[in-house]
Amino acid sequence: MKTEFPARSPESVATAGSDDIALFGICPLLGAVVSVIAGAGLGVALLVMLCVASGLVAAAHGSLPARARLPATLVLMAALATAIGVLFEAFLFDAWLALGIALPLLATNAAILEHTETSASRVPPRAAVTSALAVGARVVLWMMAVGAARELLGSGALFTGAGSYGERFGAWTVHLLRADKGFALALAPAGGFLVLGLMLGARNAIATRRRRAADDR
Amino acid sequence: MATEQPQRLWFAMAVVLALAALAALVDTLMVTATRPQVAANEAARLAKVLRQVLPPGYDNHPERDRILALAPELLGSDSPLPIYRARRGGEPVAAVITVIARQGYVGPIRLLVSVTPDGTVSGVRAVEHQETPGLGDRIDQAKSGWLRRFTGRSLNDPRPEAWAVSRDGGAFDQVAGATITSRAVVNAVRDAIVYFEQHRAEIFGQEATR
Repeated sequence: MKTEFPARSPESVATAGSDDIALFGICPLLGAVVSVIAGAGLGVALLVMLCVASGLVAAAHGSLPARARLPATLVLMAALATAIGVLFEAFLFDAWLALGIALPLLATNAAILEHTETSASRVPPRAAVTSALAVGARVVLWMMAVGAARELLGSGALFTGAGSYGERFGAWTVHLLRADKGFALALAPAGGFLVLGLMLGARNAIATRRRRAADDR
Repeated sequence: MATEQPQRLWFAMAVVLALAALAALVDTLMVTATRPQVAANEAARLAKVLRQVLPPGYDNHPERDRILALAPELLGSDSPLPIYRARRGGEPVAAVITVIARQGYVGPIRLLVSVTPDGTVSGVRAVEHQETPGLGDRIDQAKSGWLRRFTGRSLNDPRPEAWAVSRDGGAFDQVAGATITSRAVVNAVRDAIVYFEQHRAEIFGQEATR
């Protein structure tokens, strides 16, 4: 039996864009993005890895046999993810204690793989790093937004864990609501997906409304 | 591509293997180079947690003055757990007992319980747990001050039979929505004091293990 898929609706075409690549990268890490700081930390780690991987893939692409390119990219990603974990453990120990279990997941991150495969391998290294920066910046923004929403809903605070990047940042944490009035589901791993889903729904609703308004004119 | 020579495949495999070896070498060098830094980080973190549970005034390095204790019944682990000794001029100030609460809601909870020589608790911290965010994780000092209610308590205050959560008729109120977690922690803290009372002399007398 053959399944007929409906043609893509105008809505899904409207929302397909560079955000979607960023979202590929966010989803596997979403469980650990429980605060703005966690989102920023993981987001920046992903951004750094995306830039280094893209630059190296762009530079090495021409000199690798075609069949070796994909496995070589996977080897590179595994090595980079390990290196990032080691650097966190040595120089950002408190942040590593909070994010450590999520960092190895960068090795199989789909956003990095997708970006190195489809764009970095076709352009010179400098252009590859520039476009990696653009995708990475979106990752950081999405992760911080999801983290902020979960933190506010779950514990009524913002910037918890800032102190793990240096004692002097500890004072950044703000408590807006009483901690025991939190909505615990937001902090559970499933809460990450609920929050992201609601945010995407809101974004799509706004995009649709804008387009309709433009059509009416 | 269909006519690709077999030797090309061998060459591609060799390239990938060489890259994997290079990657492993680089990562190994990084791990080796940062090992002292990681060890220092771990020691600093341990010293910081110990400072939070210990009474002030000790003049040694309790994170280095360590013995190992094996007591599966009371301490909740089949492998030896560290006990850290704080001293002032060689005299005991307190011992920090590592105890595992096996009956956590999600998994085992690793606690540090600091006990002064007269058997009074000077502080408790949860150093490892997977309790539910927003509920059981309030045993975490970063999330709430619930663990502070053990400070100043001993086996005389309350009596051992009252070392239970209030739902079970005991003297300690539970974390709201996390009775199982609270029960596990109350029992583990009590067992740590019981262990201390039973082994007081050897806890402070034994040579430190490296």
